[in-house]
Amino acid sequence: MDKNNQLLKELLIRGISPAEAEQLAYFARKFSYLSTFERSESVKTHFLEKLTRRKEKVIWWPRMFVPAMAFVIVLLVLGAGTVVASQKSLPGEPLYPVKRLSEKVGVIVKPDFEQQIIVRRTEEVRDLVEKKEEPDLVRKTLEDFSQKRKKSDEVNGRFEQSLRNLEEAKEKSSEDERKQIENVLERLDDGHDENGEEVKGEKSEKKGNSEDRSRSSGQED
Amino acid sequence: MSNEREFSQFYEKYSDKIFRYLYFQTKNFHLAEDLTSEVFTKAWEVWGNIRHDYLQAWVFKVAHNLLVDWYRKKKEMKMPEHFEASYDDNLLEKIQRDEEANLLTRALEVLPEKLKRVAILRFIEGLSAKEVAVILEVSEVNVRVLQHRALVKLKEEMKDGQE
Repeated sequence: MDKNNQLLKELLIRGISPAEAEQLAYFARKFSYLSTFERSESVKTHFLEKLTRRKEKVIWWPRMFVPAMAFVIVLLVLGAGTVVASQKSLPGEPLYPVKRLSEKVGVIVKPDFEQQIIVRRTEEVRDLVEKKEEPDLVRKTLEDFSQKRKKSDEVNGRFEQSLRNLEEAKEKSSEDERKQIENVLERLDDGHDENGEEVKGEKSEKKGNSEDRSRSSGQED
Repeated sequence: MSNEREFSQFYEKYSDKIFRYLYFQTKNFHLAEDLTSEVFTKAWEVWGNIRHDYLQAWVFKVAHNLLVDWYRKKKEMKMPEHFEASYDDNLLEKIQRDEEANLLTRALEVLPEKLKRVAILRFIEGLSAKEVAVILEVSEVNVRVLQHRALVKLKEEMKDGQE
């Protein structure tokens, strides 16, 4: 049905006579004359060129990179979350390599972080012993600790913390682990003697204590 | 077919219709051109995401909303700086010099806004009552009532003008 007939039908539905509907449709047709006015091709081409060039530069470019940018952001967030979560991990756990890697980065950024790492190893030994993990893991962690300790010449308050951690570990350890920890503690005492008077005093005190203990045990005997 | 080519065809097909819809309502040639540019800029920005089966009704609805917004705010259209508007002043002269066009546009001006919109969409641009209903957000029955009223008024106005 063409547009004129459709309009006639619609007008007739309104309840007017066919003659009147035809007359009204005639006026409606007259107005279609106004649809003959069109803008020039040059105006349209000018607009289209401006618009499509603008979109290429301003809109498509960033949209292309939205998935890539989103991916990078997700990676960063996941990465940061993993690093934070890894800080409490122990040797043998899946996130432990992340912790070690983050420590390496930490030392580059802040060299005195090395001291904190030494304490961390002793904390790990203590926690591994507490959790009764494989003796092999305890041994490896002790080795890591000893190596770090050798590399570091600095003596500070953190050394005491390391000692306390190892003493705690020793108390809760099995026979094999106890020997390993004692060995490390002994080496630690020797190495520490070379570094300062204060520690020498502590060692002497310890030796004195052990001598006292053996003496008193002898007396008891 | 590339997005750009599809859009160019869409622009070629509808930009004059949109321009006329806006011009015969505002009787402001430059504003109509600016608003037309705005309509098609919006269309281009969402071109990849719009349904292509109701394009005519959709683009007229965008134009209608922009016009309503413009009437409400009564502020100058601010096109982006890089957007140098281009006007076909020859067309303006052509419309102004055309006696038949003057007669018809004067008759249109007498109509209240709502009837004028229906008259332009139905009788000049030839949209169906259903499409007009979608654009103006009224029922199809309402469009038929409005078009009837518009025609009665236009007939009276044009008869008066001829006498």
